[in-house]
Amino acid sequence: MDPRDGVSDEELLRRFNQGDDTSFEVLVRRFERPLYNFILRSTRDSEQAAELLQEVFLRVVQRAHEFQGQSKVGTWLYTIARNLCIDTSRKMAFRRHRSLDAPSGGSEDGEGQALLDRIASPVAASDRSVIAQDLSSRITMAVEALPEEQREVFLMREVQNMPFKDIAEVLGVPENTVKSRMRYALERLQRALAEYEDYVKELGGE
Amino acid sequence: MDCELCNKGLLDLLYGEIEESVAVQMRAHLEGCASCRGAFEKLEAGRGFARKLEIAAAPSMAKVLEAAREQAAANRRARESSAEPAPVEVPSRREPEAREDGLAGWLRWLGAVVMGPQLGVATVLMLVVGIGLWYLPQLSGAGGHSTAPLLEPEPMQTSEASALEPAEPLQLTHDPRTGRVTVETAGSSAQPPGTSTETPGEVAHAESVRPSTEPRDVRTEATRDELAAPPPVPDDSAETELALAVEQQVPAEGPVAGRVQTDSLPELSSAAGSLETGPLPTAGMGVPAPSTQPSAQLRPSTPSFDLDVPSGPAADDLGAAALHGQARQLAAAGRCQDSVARYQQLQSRYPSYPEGGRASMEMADCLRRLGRTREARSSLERATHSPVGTVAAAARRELLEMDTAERAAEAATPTAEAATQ
Repeated sequence: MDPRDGVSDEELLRRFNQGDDTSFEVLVRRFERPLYNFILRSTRDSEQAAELLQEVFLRVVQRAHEFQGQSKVGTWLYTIARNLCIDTSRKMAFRRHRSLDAPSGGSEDGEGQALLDRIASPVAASDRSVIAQDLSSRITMAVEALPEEQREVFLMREVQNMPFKDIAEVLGVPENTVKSRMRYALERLQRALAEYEDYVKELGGE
Repeated sequence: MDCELCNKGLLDLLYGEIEESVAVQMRAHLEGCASCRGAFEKLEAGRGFARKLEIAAAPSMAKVLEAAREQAAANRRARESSAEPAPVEVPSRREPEAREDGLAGWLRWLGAVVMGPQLGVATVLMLVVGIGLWYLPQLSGAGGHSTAPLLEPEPMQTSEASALEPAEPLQLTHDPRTGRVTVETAGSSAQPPGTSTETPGEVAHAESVRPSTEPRDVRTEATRDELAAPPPVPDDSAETELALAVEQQVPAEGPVAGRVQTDSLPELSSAAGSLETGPLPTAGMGVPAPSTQPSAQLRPSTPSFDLDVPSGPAADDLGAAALHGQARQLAAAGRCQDSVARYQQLQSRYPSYPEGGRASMEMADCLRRLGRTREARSSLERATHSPVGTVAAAARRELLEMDTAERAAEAATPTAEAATQ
């Protein structure tokens, strides 16, 4: 175990600014995977997600001396990643495509029936392995089909395990708004994957 | 705990971000509330799916780590080269230092300079002066005074020849008390006395004049005196001729002095020509023209000019000769009354006129023709005191002849009376 694992993200960045390159490596290990998945679920393109992830860390390297320490390093990293994703999605016109999961009413209250909800499950859950494989892809599809506001909250919370308060700081919205978005996201996943509930319950803590 | 409060805290309960005491109360409420329990179960199911979300492995960060190593090395070199003490624990300490570099620092310096009070005051002053100069021509134009003629004078409307043409006869007067010779044209008659033209002798005659279509209003001071008292001047042409004659009596020693273009004045050409060939009335009239003469000639539109000249015998002789010439011309024209007035003016103004004796004899002749024999005798008696011997002798002869004629007339008168009786 690296003795620096207990060091805070901010301290690691300060050490890097003093010339300690290994501190930055620790910082990269902490954030690379959740950040990559966060970007990947937004862009839905692994190559592009990899490029954007590198861009995020390169910007941190270039601007590390600008970090004022008034916020957390994690929120700073996700802010950079989120902005890059938004810029890329605009360039790639990802947002031109209507989300499969976008509610008809366009509201966040979940009253509108999502398109995904109307799609019948293509595979019957008859075989465990087949079911597991299918569930994984269905969960991925369901997450990617979430509205962007809900998805980014969901990913930061579930993948990065970021507190709601920090998520609110990254997004620049009140914490209650973050919690509402998270609740809608969970309810939407539950509706989309309701047929797999029993299977997931059986798996328990696996 | 009611359902509303429990429903609000479901997410916090799900993620364990709630106090344990509150969590216990909520779990107790969920035990007895199917609605709240159903909502919480949905959230639990959704999070169960979220935990099954496949987490993809991150790609290689070799490029990023290499860049981080280079940057860290640069940071080390910068830290070692600087004499600063060890950095403090506050990570944001570098932020102000970074702001002092590059574009931000330059902009800060530029803003401080631009917003400086001295530069601001100077800018305001420049604007005020510039705006004032911009509107100055408009303001001066509103006042009625324009500087345009000063900057761009109008071109002369006359040629060299026309500049020398006499516009109207000169009106020449001389004041022996001040020694000034005043030359006036018809256009200057209405001007105040202070603006009248006074020149010494020939300078006055060198003044160029142009022909004028206006009625000639040539007035010498003597003429004005005569106008004040009857009889009136019957014809102005004679006076014009006299004025022109005065001009011609001045010898032209300069290149253009006294030159008169008589073509434009046909009615005066004969008089002018006769005077050009005539002898000068007196000696001493040939005063050389001053060097300022040509320049004075080339002022075409000047109605009159006033030159202060030193008084002296030359100026007196010139004025007296002018008056004498006028008197002679009037006498030759048969205007004995006017001629006598000129002679009287001559005698009153120029008592020491060398030709005064001759003038007195000439005036006596005019007086005899007017029947004023007593005055004619007095004039002849004055002529007998002339320093010129020939004149005095001639005057005495004239007196004797008058006496003889008067005695003969007295003798003839009783004879005639006796014859009638």
